[in-house]
Amino acid sequence: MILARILYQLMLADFLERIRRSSFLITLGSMVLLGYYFLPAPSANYAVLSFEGYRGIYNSAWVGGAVAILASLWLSLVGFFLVKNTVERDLRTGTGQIIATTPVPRPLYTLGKMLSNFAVLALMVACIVISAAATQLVRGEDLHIDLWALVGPSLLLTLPTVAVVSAVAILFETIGWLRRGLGNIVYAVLWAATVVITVTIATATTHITPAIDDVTGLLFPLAQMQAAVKAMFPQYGGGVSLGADVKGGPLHTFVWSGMQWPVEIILERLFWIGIALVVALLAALFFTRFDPARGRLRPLAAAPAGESERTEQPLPEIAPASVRLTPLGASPGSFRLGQLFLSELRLMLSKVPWWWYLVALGLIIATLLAPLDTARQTFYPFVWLWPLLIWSEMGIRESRYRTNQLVFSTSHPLLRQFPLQWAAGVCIALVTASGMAVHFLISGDPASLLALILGALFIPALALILGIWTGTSKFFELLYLLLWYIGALNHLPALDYMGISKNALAVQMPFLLLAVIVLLLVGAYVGRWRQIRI
Amino acid sequence: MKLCIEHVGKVYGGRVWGLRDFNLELGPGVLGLLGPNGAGKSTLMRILATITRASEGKVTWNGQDIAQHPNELRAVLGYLPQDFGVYPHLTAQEFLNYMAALKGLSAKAARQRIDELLQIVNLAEVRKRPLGGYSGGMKQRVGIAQALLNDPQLLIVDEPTVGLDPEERVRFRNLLSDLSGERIVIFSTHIVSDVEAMATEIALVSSGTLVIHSSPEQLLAAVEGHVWEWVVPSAELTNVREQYVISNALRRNDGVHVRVVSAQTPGETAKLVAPNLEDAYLYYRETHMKGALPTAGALTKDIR
Repeated sequence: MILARILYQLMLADFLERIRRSSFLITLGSMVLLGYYFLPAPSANYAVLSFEGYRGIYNSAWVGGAVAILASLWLSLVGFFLVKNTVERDLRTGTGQIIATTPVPRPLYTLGKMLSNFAVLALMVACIVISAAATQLVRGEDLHIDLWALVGPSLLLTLPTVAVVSAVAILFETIGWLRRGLGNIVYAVLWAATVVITVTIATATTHITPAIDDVTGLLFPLAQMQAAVKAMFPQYGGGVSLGADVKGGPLHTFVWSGMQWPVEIILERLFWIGIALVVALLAALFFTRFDPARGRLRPLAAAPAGESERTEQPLPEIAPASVRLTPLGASPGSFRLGQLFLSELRLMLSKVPWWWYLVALGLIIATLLAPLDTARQTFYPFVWLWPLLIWSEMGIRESRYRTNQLVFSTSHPLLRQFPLQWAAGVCIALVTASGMAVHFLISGDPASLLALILGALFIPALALILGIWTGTSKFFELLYLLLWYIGALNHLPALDYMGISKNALAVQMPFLLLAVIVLLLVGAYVGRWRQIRI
Repeated sequence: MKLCIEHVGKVYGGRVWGLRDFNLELGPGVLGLLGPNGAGKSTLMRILATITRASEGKVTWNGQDIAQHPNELRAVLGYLPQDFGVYPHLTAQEFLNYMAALKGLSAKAARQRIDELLQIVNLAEVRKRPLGGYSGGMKQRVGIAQALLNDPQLLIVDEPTVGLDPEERVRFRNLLSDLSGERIVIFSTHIVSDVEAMATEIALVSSGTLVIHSSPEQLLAAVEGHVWEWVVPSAELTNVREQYVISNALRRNDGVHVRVVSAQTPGETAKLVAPNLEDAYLYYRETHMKGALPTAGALTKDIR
């Protein structure tokens, strides 16, 4: 009973701490918007779930199923980034040290945190479902609300998925090297691989089999929907379009009666909830109980110096220091551009281990020496994935390490330190892509070279604005990984900020990018100005 | 060189006044801001360091409003916050180099300055160790060093001796005394002995207002004849505390030796003794809290 109470309080305190922040309202608002955009109007030029031009009419069955699929897909990625901070918060606020002095067992702590994560994500799922129900009425294709058809798929499909995400987030937080940016990248890669495999399987087969390895819960509902489409439209080839996709024309609609729930699928989803609990308990093995001497569970910023007590002791006699300060000659406070730029660059690279430089050099050489097309398609995308964790600290460094009062009280921080911080990020982008740049130059491809330069200006600007306005590196890491995956790796022209594909150059992406860069820098400037003025 | 603080106030959340109608005029010297936790010392220092803006009033540096022209002050400012962080992967030398670049020092001047400062704050031998491995006191000394990089005309140090061991505190006191020459130094503390050792002027702050601004000698003179040493039985200590301002109480074999601040003798066996700054601080704070003190400006004028 006592353990249950402790578990409940651990979960409750963390949950309340999170939902009472004003930023959480913004998150919930985003979920409401997601529920709306998951069900595009018939006249919209995009679709989020379609089967080779077919979709179900917006009745509760289709709405419930589609929303469950899409929420599972997106919350399994975004949800991880949103909740992966609870152990960090205890560390940063110092409450971790207090918790460590209580008898709370490690498994109870990690389980409590996992349940808090789950509660937060479940609340988001609820918001999406409520918004989707309202959207169903707005779309007006079927005004009858069937509560179970609407809510059931989210309960049975999405919630087990977010339970796993909740547990994995805790696990990553307790394993030192996965706790920060690298863990975010690892998870994003795992997520992408899982989604690709899932969609490939879904496209390859319509056989309805509850799959024990279907962590996302997508295969089963997709298979049921595909079977329904096939039954009505024999010419349907089995393709699935999942996620935002530009429509070629209006979608053909059909009436879908909803999910069937064999016992096997319910057991399979319960299995994943069990897995989630096991992962949460496994995290206890790695949890160091905030022991600063163990692992890498150290706060990012220095803890404040403790107050000294009033002392009655007489202080020792100390001989005056033999060193005197030499008066400064020229007036300090003058702007030394080169020196400050180099200082910013050194600071950005201060955490980088020696092997990072080795890999970066390897990529430079590979992009220089490989045939142009191979260099462009194969190596070039990774040139600007490699410095991700360096860029992700831009904009948040001063608040993360609590040096803001020191830095912002120097002369002209907006006109000096801010632009040179950006310039240092640009420098890193240009140097890491130097092999590709030289290759473009030699090959007489000025358009690609221009696109490269613009990309080098874009990435640090994006990092700065997101860091300054959100106060966290996760937003940039998530957004950049998505941009990189869709734009740079899969060459979607509208998002190809590196100009890898000829199509990107053809649609004048570089010039649009220039406008975006200016807007980002203005936004970052305004954000930094607000920080300094407060 | 003049710093004027005129009717400065700072409100938080539209309701809580951290500072109210604060007035002070400072020239070269060392001002000790003395007051309990939450008195408004750090709020004032953050306003002077251009970290935050006053909600009302004005601060001028050599006649220029610092809210309108903060960079003119920042060019000659050295600031050590009460609570600050460092970059854990940089060494002390690298961190100070970075701060020197931000403050506009040339590479050559920075090198020399950093060498000297590291020796003065006794970190020369660990200059190449990452800051993440420093103790709280060592980080505090790095903070002191960075505040002095640009030879500031206005040096603001908030609780500078927190985390320092006794030897380091004495070093810092000596350093501040050496620096006081032709610059304005403002330091805040709740440790009275630090103020005794370093300050040429004292401002007592309580509940966001200035209680009194005076020299240490004048403060002591004001409570001359008001400080008593008195031995009371242990059982009566609670009563004595309720009736009088007690600056110290030591238990001995013959009873509790209390140090009482009072205009009248507290008891027949009480002996008049020479006051110290702690007595004066407590006297003014208690009297201010009871609302029995005239305005700080009037009192300052009278005492001066």
